[in-house]
Amino acid sequence: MTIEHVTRHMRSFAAHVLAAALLVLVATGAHAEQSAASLDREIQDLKKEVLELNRDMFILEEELLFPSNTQVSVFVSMDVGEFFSLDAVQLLIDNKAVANHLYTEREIGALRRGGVQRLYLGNLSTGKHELTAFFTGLGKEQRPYKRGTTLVLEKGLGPKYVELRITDSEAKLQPEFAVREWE
Amino acid sequence: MRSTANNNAFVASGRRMGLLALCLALLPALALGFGRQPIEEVRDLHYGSILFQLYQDKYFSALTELLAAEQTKPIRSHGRDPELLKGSLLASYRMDLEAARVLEDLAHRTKDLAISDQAWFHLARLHFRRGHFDEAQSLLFNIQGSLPPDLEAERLNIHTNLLMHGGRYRDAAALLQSAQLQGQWLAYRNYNWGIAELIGGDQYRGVSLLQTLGQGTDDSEESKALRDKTNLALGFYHLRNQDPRSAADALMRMRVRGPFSTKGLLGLGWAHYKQQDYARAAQVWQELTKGAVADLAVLEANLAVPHAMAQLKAYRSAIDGYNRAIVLFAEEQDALDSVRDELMRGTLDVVIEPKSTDAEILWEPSNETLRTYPHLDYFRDLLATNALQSAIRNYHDLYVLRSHIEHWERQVPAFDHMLEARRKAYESKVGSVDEDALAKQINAFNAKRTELARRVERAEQLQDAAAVANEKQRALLDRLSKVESRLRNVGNTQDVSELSRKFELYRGLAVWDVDTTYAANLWQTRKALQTLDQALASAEAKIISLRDAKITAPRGFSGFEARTDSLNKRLAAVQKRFAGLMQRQKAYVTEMLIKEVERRQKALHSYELQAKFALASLHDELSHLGASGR
Repeated sequence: MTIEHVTRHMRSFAAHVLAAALLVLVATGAHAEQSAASLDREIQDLKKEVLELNRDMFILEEELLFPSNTQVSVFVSMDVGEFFSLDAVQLLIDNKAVANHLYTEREIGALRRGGVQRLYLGNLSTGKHELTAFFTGLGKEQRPYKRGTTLVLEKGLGPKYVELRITDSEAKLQPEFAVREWE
Repeated sequence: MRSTANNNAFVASGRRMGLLALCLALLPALALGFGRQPIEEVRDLHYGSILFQLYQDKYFSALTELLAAEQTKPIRSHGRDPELLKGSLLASYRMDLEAARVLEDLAHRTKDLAISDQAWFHLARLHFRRGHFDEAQSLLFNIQGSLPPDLEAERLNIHTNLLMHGGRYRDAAALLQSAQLQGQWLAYRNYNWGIAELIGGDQYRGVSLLQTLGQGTDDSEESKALRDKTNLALGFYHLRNQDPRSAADALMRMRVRGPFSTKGLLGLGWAHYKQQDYARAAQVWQELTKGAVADLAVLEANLAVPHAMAQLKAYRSAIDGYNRAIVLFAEEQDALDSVRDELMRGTLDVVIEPKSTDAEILWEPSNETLRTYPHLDYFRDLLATNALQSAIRNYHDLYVLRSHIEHWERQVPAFDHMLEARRKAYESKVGSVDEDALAKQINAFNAKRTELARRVERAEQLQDAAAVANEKQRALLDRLSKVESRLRNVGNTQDVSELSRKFELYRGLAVWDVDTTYAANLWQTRKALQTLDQALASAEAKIISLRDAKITAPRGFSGFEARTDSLNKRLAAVQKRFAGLMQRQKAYVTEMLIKEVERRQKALHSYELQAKFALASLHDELSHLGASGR
């Protein structure tokens, strides 16, 4: 047997071993992929169930804690915010502080892009109530700026939605704070 | 020795050129991120609230609000179809199967072309993300019109990537060339276009595009990062094409500290080396060796430094360098062994566990975490991949979802207590109220009100001012009447003519006052009657509401009880599934990390072999030189 023959034999053996190893690798890889896909599907199924459950609990909680005949929601929205950079909001209903919120950068970003924050969800009896909101932040030239706005709202038998809106007044070159009642 | 060392260098540099080419080919996939959504005018507060969550990447909260709105107060018509929003939210929350179902259904069902186009786009993006390129390609063809600008830019990115994935670089370049984009999008377009031209199109144009981009002066962080990436790609391209001078020019434009700086330094060393400036090559690589050893570029630099030293005939330094590299590689192998052991033991669990249940945003290790767990450095590249991020985020999602379930499990007993308290309050207050007796009272009040109205009407007919006199006037008239009676009694015995005269005067004034205020008093009386009507109507409404409440409240209590019972069972059933799934997902993440460790160990093993081979060759060559007396 020549050296060349031995070498050729060894090469052939190595090729077989390599092919077998590759087959094992491919099989293992395919199995791992299948298992990962199955795990992903199971997670998606669980997410769907939890979402539906969370929705049902969310609705139940709202119906129990904030029945529609007494429910009042206060929202905050803003447009570009050139003249005012919002830091915090304090909400008073009938002179009692019911909500205080310090804003994070992410929240401000979300508001600036058109998101609306539900600041407060609570209960009010029917009749007249005074709602006051104080907005704190930085005005033009980064100066501390605080403004308040008030609304007397008539609470009826249905839920009440109020929007506190911060807008830029191009005409006055300053921010404006408006309160709007929604049906 | 020169020939052996050169051969060795050729092999080593060949390998590196392979790596560089791979790096170049992978770069396009990184470009063109997600665009900003334009500001939307909110016409529905609940829709706005969903957007507020979405824009903070809180997909679970956004989806919960959207699903709740579907059941209780459907979103009013809006710029973006709520179903489209739902589909894209589900996709962002990596619920691809449900997202695909919603989007496909919407795309087929809607008659609004703009909506169906967007639905097809989101569906295509979903398949693209999952690596289903053929499906993604055919779904993109379903889009008939144009998309909003941010989505249009993303469509271009996906389409380009699909073409490049299929090896159609010329088509990709042509597509990018025809794209009308502005601002930063234009810069990304030019980057991708340049890469497409370099790989499979007009290389001269590719170089020109990337050179212009790489020499930009915009100061924003995003532009600087893109510039680094561009110069890195350009540098690698020139190195591959044996143009080390141009490569050095491009790589020198990169920042010293940036996400690609170590790869840039490694390339720069090779650019100098290929210009036979071995001293500068060694200097650059020496600088690079001071970096973190978890970076493969740093490890390669440890191999490259002695290689340059050998070319400078600094054999002692070269031998020492190779020996140090061999020791370093062995130490790194040991370090990776212990990282793997730690992973197997689960000690890294704490790193991948979210720090808060509010962790709905993209996870990335904080600097503090990196300081506490330095081995995370080994996974920096892997952590940037979609596969590992998705796997970790899925684990986080499970963690956060379980915390929601636990929260509700704690809440349900509180709801039960609340219902019980309400039932008791109802029974003690509302339950004991006799609404029939109240109704009788109201009827009596109504009868009185009718009588009063009749009297007012008669007073008006008779113009009877006294009948509608106000309280003060009536009191005065009563007093005058009493005075008149007393005057009459006293008048029988005494002379009261003066007093009678005065009395007549006062009575005249009082009657005049009543007469002149008749119209105002009548108006006030009518107003008082209206107020009385409102009060009676309100009381009647309350009695009706009370009657309704007495019928519906008990039903409501049992309805709530049935709901809490059913929800409690669902909570318990879902809770059971978390432990197993979380364990499997954690094992899956761990497996990915271990594979990365093994990949690194394989690379290290290769470096070690190269270093040993180079060292042996060097010794061999030196001994030959010694034997021949040279």
